[in-house]
Amino acid sequence: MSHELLPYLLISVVIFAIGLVGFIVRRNLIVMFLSTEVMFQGVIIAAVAFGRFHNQLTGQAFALLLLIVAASEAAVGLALIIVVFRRRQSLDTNRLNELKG
Amino acid sequence: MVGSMGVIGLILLAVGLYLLFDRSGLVRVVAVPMLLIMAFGLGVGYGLYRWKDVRPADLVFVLTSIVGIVSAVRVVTHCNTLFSAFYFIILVAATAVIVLLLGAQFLSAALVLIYAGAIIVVYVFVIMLVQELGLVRYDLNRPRVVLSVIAAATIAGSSVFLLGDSAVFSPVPWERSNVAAIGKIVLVDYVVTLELAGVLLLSAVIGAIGLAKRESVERNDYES
Repeated sequence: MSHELLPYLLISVVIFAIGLVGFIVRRNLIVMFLSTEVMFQGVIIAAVAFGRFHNQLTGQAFALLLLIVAASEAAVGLALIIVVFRRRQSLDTNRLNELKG
Repeated sequence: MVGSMGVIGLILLAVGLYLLFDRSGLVRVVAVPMLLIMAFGLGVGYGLYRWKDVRPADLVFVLTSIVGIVSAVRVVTHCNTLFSAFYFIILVAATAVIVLLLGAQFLSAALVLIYAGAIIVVYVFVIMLVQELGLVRYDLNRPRVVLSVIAAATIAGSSVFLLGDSAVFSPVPWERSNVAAIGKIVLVDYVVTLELAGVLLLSAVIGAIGLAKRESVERNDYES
């Protein structure tokens, strides 16, 4: 199975789906960000698998740049979480309803 | 064969994910071992079906994928945020092994270093900083589980159906080491993207420091 493309894509899709469910269901801001990172893991596996299938290193290079994007997104997102917590004293996304119509 | 097994496994995963979000302990105690046994039975059946073609790398792949999926599920369903971060470290390790099986040696080392070494440290710092007082009650009522699990399983299942038959990897045509090859391709073919990523990181650093800065620091600066 490790010399075929399909199992790697299956794993990638499953991990992405798990991260998607976690992002939708959970209301804690930090766990929502962690679920986004779980989705990133799925995408990284898919990128490297497709790169290996086409015998190019582009998949790995894209996965490296995706790593950089994920790191910067985590930094800015966590800074925003700190600011939100200072204002609201809660990490519940249902409490962030000041703009609600 | 792998496609239909994948669909059955996805249905099992969706049902298990839905059951794991249940708050009563009884369902969790009964459902999770049942699903594990069913998944194990599926895996054993598939292994017996393909016994003559099994390689050691296949065993590594199956074990790593099981560890990765279980840890991803625990990231998403655990009550304690800190344990979600810890299970995410295990998921990153599983991803590093899977990309190592695909020949991406530099990427697997970079994943462990950057994700488990830097990003999760920042997450743990923030989790420790924004501790909420008392028992966290808002995450206990989850009425959106059914629709989200159906939506995610539909996305995953349709992707599995669209993937079609399994394609086999051809032998690797890369002669030099993976680090040298990655260095060549990133610094020669994709150097603009690399520079843009550096600018993105710089702006993220400046933005994060500017966002999380306390007002009392500015007041001290003005007073002195």
